[in-house]
Amino acid sequence: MDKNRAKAYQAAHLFLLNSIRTTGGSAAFYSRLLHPVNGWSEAYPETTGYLIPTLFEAGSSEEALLLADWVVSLQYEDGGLPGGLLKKGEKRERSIFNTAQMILGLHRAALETSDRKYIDATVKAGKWLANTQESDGTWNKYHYKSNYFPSYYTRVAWPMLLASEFDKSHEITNAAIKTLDFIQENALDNYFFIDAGFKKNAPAYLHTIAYTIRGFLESALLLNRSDYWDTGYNLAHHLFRQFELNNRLAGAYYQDGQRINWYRCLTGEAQMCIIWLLLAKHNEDYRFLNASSKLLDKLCLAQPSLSIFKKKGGLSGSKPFYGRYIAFRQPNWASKFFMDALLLEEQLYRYLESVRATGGTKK
Amino acid sequence: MKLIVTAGHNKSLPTIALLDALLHDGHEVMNVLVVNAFQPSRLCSYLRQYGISTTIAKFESHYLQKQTTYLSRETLPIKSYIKSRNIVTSSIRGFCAARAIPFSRVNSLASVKAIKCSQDNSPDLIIYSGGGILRNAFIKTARIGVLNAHSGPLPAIRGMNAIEWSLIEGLEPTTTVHLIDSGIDTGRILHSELIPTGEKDDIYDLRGKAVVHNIELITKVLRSIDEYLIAATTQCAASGKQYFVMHSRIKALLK
Repeated sequence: MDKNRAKAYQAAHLFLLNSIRTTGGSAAFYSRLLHPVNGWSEAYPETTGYLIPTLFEAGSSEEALLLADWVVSLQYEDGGLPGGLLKKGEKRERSIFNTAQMILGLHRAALETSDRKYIDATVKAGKWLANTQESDGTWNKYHYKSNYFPSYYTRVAWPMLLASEFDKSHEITNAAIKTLDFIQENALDNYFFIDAGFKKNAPAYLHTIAYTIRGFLESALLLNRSDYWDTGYNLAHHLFRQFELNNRLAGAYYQDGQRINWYRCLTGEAQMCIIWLLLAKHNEDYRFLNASSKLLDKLCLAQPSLSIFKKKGGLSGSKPFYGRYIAFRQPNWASKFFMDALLLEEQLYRYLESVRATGGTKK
Repeated sequence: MKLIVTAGHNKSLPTIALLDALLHDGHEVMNVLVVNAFQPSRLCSYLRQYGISTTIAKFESHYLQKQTTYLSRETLPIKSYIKSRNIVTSSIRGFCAARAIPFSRVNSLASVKAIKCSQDNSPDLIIYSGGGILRNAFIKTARIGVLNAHSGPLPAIRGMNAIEWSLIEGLEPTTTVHLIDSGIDTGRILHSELIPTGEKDDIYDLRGKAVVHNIELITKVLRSIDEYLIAATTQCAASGKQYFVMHSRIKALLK
């Protein structure tokens, strides 16, 4: 990694390590405005779950397993996992989306350790998602907003497919496919999706749009389904062109493609970098690596170093800080996606360097 | 053949060399449309595409003709070409004044002034030698169309940094002469040839050589334009990709 990228990676890593609470889990965000005393919020099971693979990649296995154990401790008997932020000792209702995100961490802990407790927790969570699903691939309960089934639930299907790797029955896989098929119908001619945001009939943050795309791409890779890949690719390519032509992505989009440009959704930008890097890697199309490197340059510049109001190393939800997405806060998941993107970028450059060093071209 | 030539700025050495070559071949240059270099919108566009340091380096090496920037080597082949042809002027305005060629400054090639200027002259062809994106209204003012030399193999490599992207994609650096349509490098292809390269050439040498090769190929095509037009091939929209300004980290792979 070049010097600036390595510095950014280390600062984000330190931010995430600092977010780990003595009471368990990782704090959802840092905000001097909302938590004037020490800045850190309560722990957030959802994003604690998906920080785990990032910490393993960064060499913090001990901390990753600590978080995985905490997630296991939160699991209900039926396999569901809680939504929302968690104060110590508090019980929160199960959540479909959040359970799926925690599977990402449990699955990785299971792969790293082969420990039965993580494997069982992963499968239990996957089965709970499959069992609570309606016959059309949606869910009626345990949503972030009741009676609203958003397109970004492709990111529920992806962890379900991971969970199914430990389960011999096809129950979880079939349920995930039903969800993906249902959401695929939500794709519009302009490549955007109906209901891609947190609320119905509202613009979608780049963050949830990226969730939707990534869900399709990762599921496509696991299922070897080119139709899912193409669905994700189309919108990712559209946003790639928009970024290259305008040198920016919007903070949020209406489903007709109209942009809300007055703020940047830094979290979503880091997620888009990962998506473009996936496209670069699997399609061997290095235009996407190019765009990703340019966007990562911008994210590195947005990473706070010394600031009174911000914690060093943690990307904020939006830029400006008062932007609509997670205003005045530095969410742990922004740094997580940022770190993942930096690492993936580095891996791709190393691959390209090795190909060129051996005198070959990528083809 | 009655021609109009465009230029990105008044100090463009490739445009001066192209004009000289066209006149040498007996073409009638009816007007030279030079886009104003100093406009806030152009500056913003450059900054957006290239960033501050490359924008400054481009300005210093291509406009001020300084030899001290990392891009200066790009300009050596065209300077040597100009010297070999005994061209003494360093501005398009000066070149045109000495040869009584009408010279027009425009803010954009999409402007009413540019379109009217071309309409009034009814050229057979417009030769594109810089000046930004073209619109249909301008393209349609020439009987045959707008001719461009692109420094990449078409349809494979469209857009920016075509030489660099060719190398990354494992393709040989190529100049393609094509007609401009409303897309980016998507018009009918008239001719293509490999850019002559040396073993020790780096990317800056190649870029410099490509500029001279572009001029040579444009003049070659113009000498037998009717034949090239008959043999022209239409590009398949699905068979190429549009590339954008290359990030320095990918460029570093070419070293």
